[in-house]
Amino acid sequence: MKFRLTLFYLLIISTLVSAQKPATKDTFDITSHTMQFPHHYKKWSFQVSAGLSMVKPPEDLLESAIQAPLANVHVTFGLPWKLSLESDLTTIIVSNQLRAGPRISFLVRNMGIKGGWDIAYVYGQLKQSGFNNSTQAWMHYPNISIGYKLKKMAFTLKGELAIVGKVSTKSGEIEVSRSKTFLNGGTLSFYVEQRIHHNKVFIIGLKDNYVKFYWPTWMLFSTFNRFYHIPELYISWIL
Amino acid sequence: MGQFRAAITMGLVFLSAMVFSQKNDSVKIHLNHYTLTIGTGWTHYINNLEMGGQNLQKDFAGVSLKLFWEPEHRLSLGLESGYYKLFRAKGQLTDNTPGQVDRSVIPLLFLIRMRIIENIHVGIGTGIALITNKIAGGGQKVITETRSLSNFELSGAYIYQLNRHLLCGGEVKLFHFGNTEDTMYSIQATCAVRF
Amino acid sequence: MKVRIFFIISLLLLIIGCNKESLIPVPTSGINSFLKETHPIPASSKPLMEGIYLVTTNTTIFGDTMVVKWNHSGILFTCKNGKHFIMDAGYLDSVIFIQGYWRDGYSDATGLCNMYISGSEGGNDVLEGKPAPHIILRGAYGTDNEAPNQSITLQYVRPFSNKVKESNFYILGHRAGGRNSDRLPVSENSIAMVKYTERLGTTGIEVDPRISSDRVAFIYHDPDINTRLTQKGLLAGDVSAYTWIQLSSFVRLIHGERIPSLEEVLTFAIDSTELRFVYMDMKSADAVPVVIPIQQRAIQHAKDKGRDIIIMMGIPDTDVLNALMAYPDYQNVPSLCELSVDDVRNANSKVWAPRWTLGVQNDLVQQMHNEGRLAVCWTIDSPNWIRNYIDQGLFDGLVTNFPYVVAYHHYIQE
Repeated sequence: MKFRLTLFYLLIISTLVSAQKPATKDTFDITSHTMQFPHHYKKWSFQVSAGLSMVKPPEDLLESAIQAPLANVHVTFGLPWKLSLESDLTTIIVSNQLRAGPRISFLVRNMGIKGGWDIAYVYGQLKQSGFNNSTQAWMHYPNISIGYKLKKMAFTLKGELAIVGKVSTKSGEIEVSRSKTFLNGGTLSFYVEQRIHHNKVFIIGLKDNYVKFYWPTWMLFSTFNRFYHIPELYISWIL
Repeated sequence: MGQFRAAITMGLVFLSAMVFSQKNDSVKIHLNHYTLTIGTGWTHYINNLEMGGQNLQKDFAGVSLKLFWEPEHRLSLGLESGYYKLFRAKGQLTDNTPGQVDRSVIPLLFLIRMRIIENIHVGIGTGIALITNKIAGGGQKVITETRSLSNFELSGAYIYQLNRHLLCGGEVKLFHFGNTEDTMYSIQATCAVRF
Repeated sequence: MKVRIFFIISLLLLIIGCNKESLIPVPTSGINSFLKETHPIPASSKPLMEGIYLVTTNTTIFGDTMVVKWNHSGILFTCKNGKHFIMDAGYLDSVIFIQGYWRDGYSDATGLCNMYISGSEGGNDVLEGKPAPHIILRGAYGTDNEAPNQSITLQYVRPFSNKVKESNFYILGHRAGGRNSDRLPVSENSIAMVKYTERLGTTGIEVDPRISSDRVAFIYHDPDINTRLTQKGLLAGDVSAYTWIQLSSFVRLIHGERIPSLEEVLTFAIDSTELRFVYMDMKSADAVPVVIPIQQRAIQHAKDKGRDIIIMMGIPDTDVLNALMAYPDYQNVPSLCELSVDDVRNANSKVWAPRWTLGVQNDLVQQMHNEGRLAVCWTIDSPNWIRNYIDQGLFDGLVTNFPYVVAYHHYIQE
């Protein structure tokens, strides 16, 4: 009798423990897990992603440009009233760009739109043929993004202008070039964000830079007043 | 003996409760896996030589090896390598010079693959490649190796699961090797082990 | 459907992004077509056309002054901002006709140009060999291959100053005249470039010697065969791994030229140009013992022909310096040293060539002059810096990818 009772109790307990869980529905919604897709970011909350950009510089710039992937860390911070702040650090060690700026986003059902203005500081330093070369630049990136989301995937198209506020290149103490405010060109990017592992999201992007001054290749000291198409493949993991 | 029977009975009851208490999820969840894929098949070089490309042999067999991490959703991340012969030129290489030139490549690419519908995947990859050029003619035999840093791959695959650990399928891939501006595509049969 | 859209957009972006930069075509329609009917300008008349001109129309594009200078191949009009005209001239009756094209060295703008000097506006005087202080050049220029339709007028102001006439300043074309990225109609480091370079205002060239695996010296800048310098072909990898026959047979530069041997370049420069300086920027120490005999033969050949030309072995690093100093009787090898002034003295170099980013260094340049040596600097491309170095520096020459800009700032000096 005791044995049967014990068995009965065990049956009850194991049933409870292993849950007559109601059928576990996948409740994941990509919206709150994205960074590029325009949406209302969670107030007072950070999101961070880390990734790489692979670049194919044009042959004119390949002569002495450093060929390496660009490492990238991107941060968003949600604010009230549909506002947010975004910041981005991209580096190949000898060339670095730190940019930050506000955004305002609107989301209507599955479509989002986001506008913003970033200010960026570029710094590069490289010893070439015994010379300590360096560069500093201030840049502006007014930008706009439109996005469309499914339940588990989001697509974003982003366009931005690239405006050079000031760029100065030095060799040792001698300033070898200085340019002031000019329209450097623009970029067009397309991002896909989707889940990769648990609820972590992975971003794949393609970006075309159509610019005269491409900051990762400053060490070329280019004097050309010419636009180049410079594609980038961007991959990133939202941490 | 009686206690042994009781232990077995309890165990069975516990397991049954565990298993049958879960209803099927409303969405298929693919569990975390790794797969090792080997592929082989036809490769074709897209001839864009501006010089010496008249009598080019462009079709060869290539082999690939891929290791993928397949988390539970649609995306997979992986590494791919392999060996592909790009082209061979043999005979009168120019008006005056006979010889033979072979170019081959060993890529090492980071891949991102996405399952778009059941069994069908598309992928994109980038990474490095080692390009080997061999010439016999016009003097001595010369072998040179070039490291290419900006390389890209686009791929589409059909992967069918035979059983829990074995998969097979086919794949179409397009490669571009930036340093030498070489482009080729490959159609391969693949076989994978999932663990 | 959505995935299809994603991939179409991705492919489009890749296609847009991967466009190979196209070479700028030199406008050809009509060029020289009328000049075939004309007579060549007499040699005595050419210096009378040279000088400083005032631009009286379209100054926003070409600036307000222009330098006009004859060269071995034609006539160069050059502006402060990198725009320049590559022209040929001839006369019929008393009218001087000038035809050619203009280019912007810093961008891709180009077009055709036709000009003339009428008999009453200086043509008669020039052709009779008399000073012509009232020359007016009238004409039109266009865009790309369009017929010239924008008027341009140049008014003669003055001849070159005595300072300029007495100067022995060297305008050295980098890679024989310019890089492939400068979109010139000929390839860098080619015989075609050596032939073309004087049209850009150069009076000397810098070239890049290397040696093949069977120790033939040739001219080529990069260490590998790549699509920046060559048409895509059968060879790839380290250029020095190949034999000379393989390089000659299987490699063509981007405009179709063969890779020239060093001997061919020096012989052409001596026999077929009026260049006065050749700067051989040695790409490897191994090449030194191969290049020196070639250099010596070329110097003797120039002497036999009565040519005023100096041919210098460039020393860019300590490896080449050590290789040179290991050569028997190295002190008598004419060399140009890019290192310190002490290295210049140790190697007994005739020319010191510091990088321009070290500054004008007038004190050190003066020391070199006091020791009977020359000083040139490299490679200076920005118009502002070129002006500064010519105005404030004491260099005997500048290496540049924009020789027409150096020509402007040199010839306009008072």
